[in-house]
Amino acid sequence: MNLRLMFSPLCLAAMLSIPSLKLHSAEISPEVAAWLAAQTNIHAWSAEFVQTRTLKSLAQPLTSTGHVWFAAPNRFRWELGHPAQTIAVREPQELLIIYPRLKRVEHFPLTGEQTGQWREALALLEAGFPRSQAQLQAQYEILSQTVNGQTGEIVLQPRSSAARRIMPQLKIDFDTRDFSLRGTELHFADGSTMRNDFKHPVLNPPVDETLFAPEVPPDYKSVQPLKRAP
Amino acid sequence: MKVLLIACLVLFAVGCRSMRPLPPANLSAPGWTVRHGQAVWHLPQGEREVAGEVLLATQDGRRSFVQFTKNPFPLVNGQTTANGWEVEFPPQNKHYSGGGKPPVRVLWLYLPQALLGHALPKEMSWHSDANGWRLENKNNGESIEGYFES
Repeated sequence: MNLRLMFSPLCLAAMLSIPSLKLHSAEISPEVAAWLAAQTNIHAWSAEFVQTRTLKSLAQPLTSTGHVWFAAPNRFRWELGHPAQTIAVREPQELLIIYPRLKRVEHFPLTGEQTGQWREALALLEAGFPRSQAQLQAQYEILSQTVNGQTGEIVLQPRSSAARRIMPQLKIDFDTRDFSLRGTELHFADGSTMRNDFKHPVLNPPVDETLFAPEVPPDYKSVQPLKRAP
Repeated sequence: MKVLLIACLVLFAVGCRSMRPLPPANLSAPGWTVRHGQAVWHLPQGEREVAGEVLLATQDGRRSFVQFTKNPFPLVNGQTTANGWEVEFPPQNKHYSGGGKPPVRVLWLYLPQALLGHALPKEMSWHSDANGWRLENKNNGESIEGYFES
């Protein structure tokens, strides 16, 4: 078992048999309601993260690190690796994925005609920052809500059947004291999981607009992997 | 990921014998060499290609594990042993396995062999230099081109 998970407050609480509150269905618990209400106070956020991937075909998890920035309402930038080897930037109309070493940028339109499971799954990457209960429940069915000590956990299922085929479940952990995002855990259809544990978060830092509108060097190859052949 | 579904159908037009799943690979066990990198997968029969992260591990040249991920989504997981192979394409929830050598159409399973300098099927070409490597199936145009961190 991953040590980080083993010693998380959630797991410690479970091991010590601390009574917990667990709600099913669409009824929102007070803790989740408070977390959702607090989201409106988040204009920007950044944090480092440790990414842990588990696979059925591997006996031990794989880990990597990176940095994430968020700016309301839906812009984000993920950098994986130090220095960044993969950069994902959510712009208003598209998701850019930049591979500096490969000198390549991929464009995934988030609007327009192109639909399907891939695009819908990409749209779910914003899940850690819902702007309202209505927005959250428009995209997800709430499977369970749990509070263990100072950690709230909400388990979600995408409403889109296309997205569900790639990612059937998503878990969000938050701090019940300051409602900060502690982690996200994506469950994929093949049984693998990917967890992001956030650390050193900064709430509402000044927004550096260049982070969300990266300049792509002219010698990079630009492609649209989802573009249909003419 | 219609493009990957098509790729899967093309890859497995020839039937594959099912066998019991291979045991999970423990990359921390003695003998494993693990490489991390990135690659561009040019799909067969067309111009479509997708970039992502590659994890490749080999154990004493007898066993291998390869994974191609478009973070956060896994696209290809494969394993080979001295007696068999398996590969899965998570976006399509497809899993294939068989005994003996991997099918020539599953290019990903030949990447470990290429890196180790083992003989490749005649349909395949391999090139590597200080800047990276490229494995290609000349019959269908499929290729994987990338690098591993040193």
